[in-house]
Amino acid sequence: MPVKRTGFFIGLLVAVLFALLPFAGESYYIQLLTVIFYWIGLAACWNLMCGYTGYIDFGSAAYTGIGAYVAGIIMVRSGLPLLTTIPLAGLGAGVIALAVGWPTLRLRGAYFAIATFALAEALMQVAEEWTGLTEGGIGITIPQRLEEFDYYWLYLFLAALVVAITWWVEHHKHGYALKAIHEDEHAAAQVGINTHTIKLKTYVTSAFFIGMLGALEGSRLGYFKPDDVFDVHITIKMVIMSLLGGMGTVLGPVIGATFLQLIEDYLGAQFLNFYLVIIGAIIVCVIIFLPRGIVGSTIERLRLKFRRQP
Amino acid sequence: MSLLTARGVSKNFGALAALSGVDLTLNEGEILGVIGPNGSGKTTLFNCMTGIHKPSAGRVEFEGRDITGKPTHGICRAGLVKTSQIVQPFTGMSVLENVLVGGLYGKGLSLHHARDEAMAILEKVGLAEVAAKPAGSITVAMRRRLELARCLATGPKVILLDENMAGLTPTEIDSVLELLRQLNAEGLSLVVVEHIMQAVMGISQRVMVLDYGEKIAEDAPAAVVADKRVIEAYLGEEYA
Ligand SMILES: Nc1ncnc2c1ncn2[C@@H]1O[C@H](COP(=O)(O)OP(=O)(O)OP(=O)(O)O)[C@@H](O)[C@H]1O
Ligand SMILES: [Mg+2]
Repeated sequence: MPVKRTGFFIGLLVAVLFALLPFAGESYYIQLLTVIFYWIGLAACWNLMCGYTGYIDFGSAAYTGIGAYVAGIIMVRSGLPLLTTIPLAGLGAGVIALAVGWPTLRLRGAYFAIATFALAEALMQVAEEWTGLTEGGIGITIPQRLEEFDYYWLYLFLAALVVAITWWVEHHKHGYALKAIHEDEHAAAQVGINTHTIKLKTYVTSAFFIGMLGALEGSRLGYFKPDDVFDVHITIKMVIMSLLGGMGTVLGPVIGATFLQLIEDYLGAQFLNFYLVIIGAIIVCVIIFLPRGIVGSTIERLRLKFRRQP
Repeated sequence: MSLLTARGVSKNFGALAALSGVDLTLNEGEILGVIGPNGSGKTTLFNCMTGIHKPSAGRVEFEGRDITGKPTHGICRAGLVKTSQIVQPFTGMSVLENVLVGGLYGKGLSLHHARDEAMAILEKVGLAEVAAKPAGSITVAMRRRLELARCLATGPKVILLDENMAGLTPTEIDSVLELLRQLNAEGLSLVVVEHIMQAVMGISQRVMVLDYGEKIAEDAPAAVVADKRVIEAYLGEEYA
C-alpha cells in the first residue's frame, strides 16, 4: 500500500507543479501543454473504458461532438455562463452513453466497435441536417471564451482527475472486475460480477468526461462545424495514444498522448507534408517492439527482472 | 430438504435436443454424481442451472426460489456456482487475485477481507505456494484446483463440478476426492460430473445417468452400474 500511495502523491505533486507554471509567464510552451493536457484527458477517458475492459469504442468522437454542441447551443440560446454549461455537456454525453451502452454493451467486442462507430457518424449527420438547432454545415459560433490560462488549468485539472480515477480503479475492487471482464466475461459472471452494469458505469463515466473536454474545446475553437467535433480522427488519436502508451495502465495515456502530441508538433513544423508518414512509421515501430505500449512493456520488463531474482 | 431442483429442463440448440425434460434433485449436504457418455448433456444441464443457458423449457429452483434463466452473477451470489470443464482462470492475474475476485464479487467482501480469505482458501486447496504466480503459468492439475478455489471464495452452498478431475493422475485424483469429502463434511453440497467412474462412484451418495439428453437412471452407485440401460448406453446393446 505505501508504494501505491507514494505513486499517487508524486502524481499529485507533478500536477501541482504544472498548475504553477503559468505564473512563470506566458510562453509557447503553455499553449503546447494546453493541447497536450486536452489529449491526455481524452486518451485517459478512452483507456479507462476500452483499455481496461477490452471493448473498443470507435466512436468516442460522438461524445466530444455532443459536449461541444450541448454547451454551444445552451450558451447561444440561454446565455448561461460557459462554466455552467460544461457539466451540462458532460451530462448530455453521459445520457447518450447510457442509452447507447445499455443495448450495445451486451454485444461482444466487435459489434460494440461497429455500433459506436456508426453512432458517431449518425450523430454527425444529425448535426448537419438539424439546422434549426445546430446551424448545420454553416457552423456554430460560440459567444463566450475563457482566458488562455483558464483552458490550461481546466484541461490540466480534468486530465489529472481522469488519471486519478483510473488510479483509483486500478487499486480498488472495480479494477479487478474490469480486468476479469477483459479476460473472460463468462468466467467473470460466474464469480458474481455483474458485467453489464460495471461496463455501463465505466462507459458512462468515460463519456461524461469526454463530453466536458469536448465542450471546453468547442469554446476554445470559438467556431466549429459538425465535422470538426464529430471528426473520426479525434477517436483515432485517442486510440493511438492509448495504444502507444499502453492500454489498461494508469500512465499509458499520459505518456502516449504527450509523446504523440510532441512529435506531431515537432514534425508538423519541420516536415509539413511528410509528418504523417513519419508518425505512421513511429507507431508501427512502437507496436512491433513494445507490443504493450511504452508503459505496459516497461512494467512487464520490470516485473520479469524482479521475478528472476531469488 | 431439497436445496437445488430442476424440473423437466430441456434445451434445444437449433434442431438438436441437448436436454429433454431432465429432473434433478440435490438435498442439503448431499453429493450427487452425474454420468453419461460424451455429448449426453451434462455440461448443458449445468449451464441451464447456472444461468449460462436459458432452458427451452422447465424450471430450476434453488432454496425454493425460482432461478430459471436468472443472470449468472445473481445465481452465483445466491450460492450456486460451477467449475468449468475447460479451465478458464484469469491468466493475466496471479493465482491469489483469481480467488480474490470471487470473494470481492461473489461474496461482496472488501479488498482487505477478500485478500485474507483468498489466502486461507489457497492454503486449504494446497495452492498457497503458488499464490503470487501468474495463473497462466501453473500446471493443469493446479488450474483445476484454482477453479475450485475461485468457486469456494464466492461463499457457495452448492458447487457443480464439471469434470474437475479430468487429466489428473490417480494420486492427484485421490487428494481432490479427499478435499471434496472434507468440504462436504463442512456442509457444502456437490454435484459431480465425471467420466472417471471410480471417482464419481466412490464419492457420490446417489448417481444419475444421462444419455442423449435424457435421464435414463438414478439410484445408489452400486445399483446404477448394474442397470441394464446404463450398460447399454456405455457399451452398446450386445453387452447388456
Ligand atoms: N452452445 C452450443 N451450441 C450448439 N450445440 C451445443 C452447445 N453446447 C452443447 N451443444 C451440443 O449439445 C450436446 C450436449 O453437449 P454437452 O456439452 O452438454 O455434453 P456433455 O455431456 O457435457 O459431454 P462431454 O462429456 O463431452 O463433456 C452435444 O451434442 C453438443 O454438441
Ligand atoms: Mg461436458
